[in-house]
Amino acid sequence: MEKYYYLDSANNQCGPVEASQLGQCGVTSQTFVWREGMADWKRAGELPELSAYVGGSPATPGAQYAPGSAPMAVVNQPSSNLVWAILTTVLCCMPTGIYAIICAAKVDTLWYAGRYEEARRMSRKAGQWSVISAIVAIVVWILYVMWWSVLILPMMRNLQGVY
Amino acid sequence: MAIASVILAAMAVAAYTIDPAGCRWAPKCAFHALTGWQCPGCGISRAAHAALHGRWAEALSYNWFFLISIPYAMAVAVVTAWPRLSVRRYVTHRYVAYTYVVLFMAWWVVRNIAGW
Repeated sequence: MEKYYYLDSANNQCGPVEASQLGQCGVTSQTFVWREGMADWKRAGELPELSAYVGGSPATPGAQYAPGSAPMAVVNQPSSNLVWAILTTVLCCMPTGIYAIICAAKVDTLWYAGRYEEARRMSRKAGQWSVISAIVAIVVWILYVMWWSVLILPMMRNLQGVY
Repeated sequence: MAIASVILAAMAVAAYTIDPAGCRWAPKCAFHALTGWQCPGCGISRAAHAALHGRWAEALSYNWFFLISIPYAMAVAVVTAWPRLSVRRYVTHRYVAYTYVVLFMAWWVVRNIAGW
């Protein structure tokens, strides 16, 4: 079932909640709601699929929402993935981790500049490069352990046999 | 978030029980293995092991950069978990992240020259 966000009377973004819960949250036909895939906030009364869940006329006027204003951005804002990028540089020390940080650093700035699509792309890139760094680090670790156990240890054992 | 917590807890347990300095199978730094130089993260697992056993001075001697990287990573983790915090703007700001990268690179060079 679709989850909805709504603006309370102080214009704060709330949710997500199931459509069937909206009525209990005080959402009326005049309240602004939004779900994934909607271009902008709409009054609940304008969405036919919500007619079963929200009351007809509101007791109190709903939020004073100005279309295109900030709350929308918060709903959709992609994670910067900066945590993963930083952790890979600390724990795996790969140069690819630094690239991931640089990508992650751009996400929020692009988002606040209104370049939403680029911000999403950067967010994905930062996540991907963090994963790549982690995989490379683990592969190198495995190779290192194999190198030691397959090549160096038998060699040392042979040397001891010579003495 | 739950997965991340589990991984972190597992890492903490591993760092407490395994002494990386005395274990051949402990994760090794690829950069250090290939070049012999220290990378900026080298010593983190030894430092974590020492710190979890309360040996703070020893922990610092392995890698004092974690005084910068761990608090920063934690701050970023907090604003990632609660994206509506107003400090998010500053913590994940481009210039803050770039400053971290520059410090990271500087530490990389300095520790290899000074032998820290």
